[in-house]
Amino acid sequence: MGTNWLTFIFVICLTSFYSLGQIEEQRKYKTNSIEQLFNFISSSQGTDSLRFHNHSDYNYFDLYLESTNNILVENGLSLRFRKREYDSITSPTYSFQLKSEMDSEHSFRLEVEESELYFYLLKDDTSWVSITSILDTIFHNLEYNSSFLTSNDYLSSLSLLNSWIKFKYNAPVEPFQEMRYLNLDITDLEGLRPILYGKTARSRSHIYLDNSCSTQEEFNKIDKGDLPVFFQKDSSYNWILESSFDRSCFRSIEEEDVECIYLTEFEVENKYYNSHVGTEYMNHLERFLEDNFNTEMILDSKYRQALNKMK
Amino acid sequence: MNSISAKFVINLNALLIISVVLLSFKVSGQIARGKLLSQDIPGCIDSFFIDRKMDLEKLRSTSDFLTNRHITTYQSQILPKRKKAFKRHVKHLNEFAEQCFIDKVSQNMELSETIYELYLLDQSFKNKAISNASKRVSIAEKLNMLYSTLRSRQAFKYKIPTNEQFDLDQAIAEPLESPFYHPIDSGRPMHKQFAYLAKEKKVKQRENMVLLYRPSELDGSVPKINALDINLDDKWNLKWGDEIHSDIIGSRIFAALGYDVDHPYIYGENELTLVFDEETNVNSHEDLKEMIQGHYKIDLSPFISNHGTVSTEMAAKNKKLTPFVGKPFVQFVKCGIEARPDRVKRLGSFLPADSINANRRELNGALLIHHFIGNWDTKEANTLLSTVHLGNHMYRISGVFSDLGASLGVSRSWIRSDFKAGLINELEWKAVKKKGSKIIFTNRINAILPAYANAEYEDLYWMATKLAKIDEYNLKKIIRKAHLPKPVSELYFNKLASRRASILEAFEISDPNPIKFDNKISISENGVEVVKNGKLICDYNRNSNPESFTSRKGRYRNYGN
Repeated sequence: MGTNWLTFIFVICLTSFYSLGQIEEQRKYKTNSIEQLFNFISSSQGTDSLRFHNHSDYNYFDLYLESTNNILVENGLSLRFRKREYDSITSPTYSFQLKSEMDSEHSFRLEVEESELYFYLLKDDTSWVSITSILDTIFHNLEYNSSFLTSNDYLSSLSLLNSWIKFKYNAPVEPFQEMRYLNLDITDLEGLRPILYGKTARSRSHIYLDNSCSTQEEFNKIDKGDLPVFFQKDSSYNWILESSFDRSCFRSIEEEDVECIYLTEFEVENKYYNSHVGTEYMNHLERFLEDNFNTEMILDSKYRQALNKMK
Repeated sequence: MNSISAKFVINLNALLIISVVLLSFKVSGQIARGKLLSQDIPGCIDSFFIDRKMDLEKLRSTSDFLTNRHITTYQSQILPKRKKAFKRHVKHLNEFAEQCFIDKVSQNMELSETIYELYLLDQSFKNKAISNASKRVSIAEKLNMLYSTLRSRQAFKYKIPTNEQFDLDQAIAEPLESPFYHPIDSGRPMHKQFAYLAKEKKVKQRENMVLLYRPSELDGSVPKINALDINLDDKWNLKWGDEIHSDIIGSRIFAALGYDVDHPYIYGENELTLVFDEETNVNSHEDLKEMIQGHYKIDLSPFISNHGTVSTEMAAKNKKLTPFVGKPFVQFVKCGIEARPDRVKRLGSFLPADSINANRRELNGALLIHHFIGNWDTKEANTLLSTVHLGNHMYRISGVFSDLGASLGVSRSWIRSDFKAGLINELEWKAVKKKGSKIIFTNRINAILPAYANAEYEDLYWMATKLAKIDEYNLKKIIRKAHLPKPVSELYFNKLASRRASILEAFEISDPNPIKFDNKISISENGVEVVKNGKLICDYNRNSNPESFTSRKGRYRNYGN
C-alpha cells in the first residue's frame, strides 16, 4: 500500500464527520526552561486571564508497535499499549491506542482508543490469561530486568502478544477497526511487533477562566455531568483547555543496554465547545509561553522524536 | 512465567462463564438475565456456524457492525449512535465466542445463547435505524392499524377446550426465566415489583422534582419533551395529555406480573418545576408552548399552572431550586415523567416476529394483560430491547413493554384521525365474554404481532392464573400511584376488579383473592353525583384535568380545549 494513497485516505478520514468525534486540537512545546515552566504550572499562577489547576499526577508506560517495513511511522501513525498507574490504591488502567502525528502547526491529531482491555484473554499452551497480565509481565521486565531479551517469561509474553495482535486484527478492536478503515491490511503490517518502550511521569492540569473575576466568556457547553469534578464544584470556573507536562524516557526494546532518550514536553489540548474560540485562547497561551519561557512548538510526537534520536 | 506474572494468571475464561451462569440465576439484589433459549436452537443463528464450529468471519462481521463508528448506515438509513456501554456489551459477547472458536467448541446451548443474544442485538439495532427514519405514521400504517383494530373482534376468540383436551399441567407450566419475563419473588408484594425494577436501573424519582429543559426529539403524538435531572446525570421525558394516568397503571400491572417496563410517574399541580437555562434556545414557558403548538398542534396553556422567574422564596421552600434563582420556570396542573436512566441503553423493538419470540409463552401470555388493561397501542414500536448495566461492567439484555398509556378506555375516530386514552366510560366492565363454547375478548388492538397472534388458550390461561394473584390490596396500591381524582380512581378500581373477575370466570379459574366490585356504583362528591350506575356523568373538574376523562376529543383535537 503506497504512502501517498494512505495519506490521501487519512486526510479524507480526518475531514469526515464521523472522524471529528475522535480528533482533538493539540499543541506541543519544548523549552530549555523546563523547571521554571513546571513550577509555573504547578503553582497555579496563570496568565492575565487563564488559570491553571494541577489535578493529577500519574505514571504511564507505553509499548509501541511497528511493522518490519515501518508502515505506521511512515504514514504518521503510532500504535501502542498503554498502562497508567495512579497511586497505590487505584487499580492501573490499560488501553490500546492508535494516534496520528500532527502534520502542520495548529493541526488536529487522530486518537482512537480501545479503552478497556480487562476482558481480552490470550491462550498459552494450556490456559487462558488476560492481556493485562501479559502486558504487566512485559512492562515489568522492561523496567526491572536488564537482561529481558533472554528472559523466558518476557519472550513468551511477547510471543503471546504478537499472536494476539495477528489474530485480532480483523476483530472489533477499535485501533484495528480504524486501521482497516484506512485500508491497512494485515499483510501491510508484516512483522508487527513491539519496538519501543516509553515511561512517562505526567502532570495534568485544567486551564480555565474564572468568570467571577476575569473577562466573561460564554460557559463551555458541556453537560455538567461530563465536566471534570473541579468544574462541577465551582460554577464560576469555565473550562477552556487541558495541559499535560510530561517527562519521558524512551528505549528501544530490540536491544538491551541502550541509553534512555529523555524527552520533556508540554502539551495543550483544546476543550472548548467552540473550537475557534478555544484556538484563540491557545494562541494567547502560546504567546505567553514564548514570552516567558522561550517555548518552541514541536510537531513530532514523543514517539517520533525518540525514533529520530535513535537513528 | 515468573512469580509476578503467575499471580496474574487467572482463568478469566472460567470467570466469564461463571458470570454468564450466575446471571441465569438470581444474584442477590439483581434481576437475573434468565435464558433466551430453552431447548431448540433457532435457525437464524445457523449462519454463525460452519460444521457446528464458530464461523469467525460471520461473528466478527456482526460485532463489527454493532461497534464500528465508520459503519454509519443500514439500508440507507442512519444508524443510531452507539453508546459506550452497548459497545462494551457486544465486545464481551464477541470475546466469549472468539474464545470458543479458539477452543474449537462445538455448538452447544451456552454458545448458542451468546450468539442468539448477539443476533437479537444486531436485529434490534437495525430495527431502530429503520424506525427512526419514519417518525410519522404513514397512511399504510394507519390502514394497518384500522385493519388490526377491526380484525381484533374475530382474532381474539378462543375455543374452550373440553376436559379431555385441556392439559392443566401444560396450561400452568411456567416458562423459564428469560430477558422477557421474570417470575415474581413471592416475598415481595406485587405492587412493589415496579419500584424494584426501577431501583436496579437506578431510577431516582423524588418529590418536588426540578428538571431542566433540554433539546427534544418531539416524536410520537402525545406532547412530550426531553429534560435533565438537576443531578445532571439522569434524563427524563416530560409529557402531558391523556396517557399520563393510564401509563402509570398499565406499566405497574405489567411489572407486577413479571415483565420489564418503562418507568412513568405523575406529578400534580406545581409538584414539578421545569427550569429553562442558557443551554438551549427554549428559554421560557412561551417558547415551550410555541414549540409544542408548532409540532403537536396542542395548546399547552390549560396544562400550565404557574410560570415566572425562580425567586428566593421559592428556593427557600424547595432547596433544589437554589442554583436556579433568577431563571425562568414553569409548573403544571399535572404532568407525567418517564425515566431514561443512564444504566439502560435502548435499542429497537424486542423483535416479536422473531421465530423464537413469536412462540414464547411469556410473550404470548402478555396478550391477556393488554386485554385486561384495555391497551390498544400494541404496535412493535412499543416493544423495546434494552441492555441494562448491572454494575462492574456486567450487562443483561431485557425485553421491555413500553408506552402502555393508550389503555384504560380508548376511543378512536378514524374519520377525524384522532384517538384518546384514559376514557373511563369507554373501558368495558368485562374484559372477556363467554359465548357458547368460546371466550371472546372485548378489547381491540392496533397491531396483532406474531407473538399475540400465536397465543393459544393455554398461554392465556397461564397468564390468567398470574392475574389471579393480584388481590384487592395490590390492585388498590397500583391504582393509587396514578393519582387520579377520587371518584375516577374508585371507578377504575371497580372496573379493573370486574375485568379481572370476568377473565377468571371465563377461564374457569377459582379466584384465590376475590375482589368485591360494584358495576352499578354511584359516587357523590359534596352532594353532587359524579358517578351514576357505573358511569362518570360529568367532565370531572376540567380545570384540574385539562385532558378530560370523558371528552372523546384526543391529542389531534387539542383535547377539546
